[in-house]
Amino acid sequence: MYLSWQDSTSHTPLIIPPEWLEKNYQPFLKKTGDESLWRNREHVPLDSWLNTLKWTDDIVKEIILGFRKRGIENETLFLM
Amino acid sequence: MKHCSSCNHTVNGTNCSHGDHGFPFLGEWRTPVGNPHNEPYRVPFMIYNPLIKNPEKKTVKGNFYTLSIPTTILDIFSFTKSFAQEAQRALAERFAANYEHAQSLLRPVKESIRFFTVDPGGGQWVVDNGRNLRVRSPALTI
Repeated sequence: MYLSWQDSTSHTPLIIPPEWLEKNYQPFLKKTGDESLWRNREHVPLDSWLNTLKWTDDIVKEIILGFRKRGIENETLFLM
Repeated sequence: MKHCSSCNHTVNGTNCSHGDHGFPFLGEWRTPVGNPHNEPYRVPFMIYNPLIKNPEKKTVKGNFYTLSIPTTILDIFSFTKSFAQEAQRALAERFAANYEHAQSLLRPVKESIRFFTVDPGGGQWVVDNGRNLRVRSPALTI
């Protein structure tokens, strides 16, 4: 049996569930140097993008724990 | 106003990459890919199962085409006897040979000189020494 799960949270426009943001948002970057480079470098805010990765890590963990709870983790190959 | 020659994005003087495409996969290693939008060569992936032991957290590094992913998974299925039917096992064994760069990361490297295009419709050609290619060379019948 094959099961796939896909999210596009880390794709623009980087929409993260507000209840997760409220508890978990982190400013990962210390933006030093020429401030204009941080505005010009990308058209999405990097801190938000890094937080979408953290959200994705959390949801993958939740999925694996769901398999563990149901006793089918050992028989499952997870590909990320 | 300038435009990037590879992606036609407006060049702002700093770079022309998409914000969420390409740059996370740009490593320091040598690569035949000059255009970061050729992501198929740079997609990282991870396999997890509680019974897979990798205490040293070893990784396989290289410029592997995305078809390495199904090929490697099929090899894992074969090694773990997860296929119920012999026909499935046979197809899994032959899968990689049907694609030009579909190397399984679990098989030993078999070096061979290859000459291939980098991107469909693009102008770049690459000679590869085969160190990143792990498919079995097809048998030649004369």
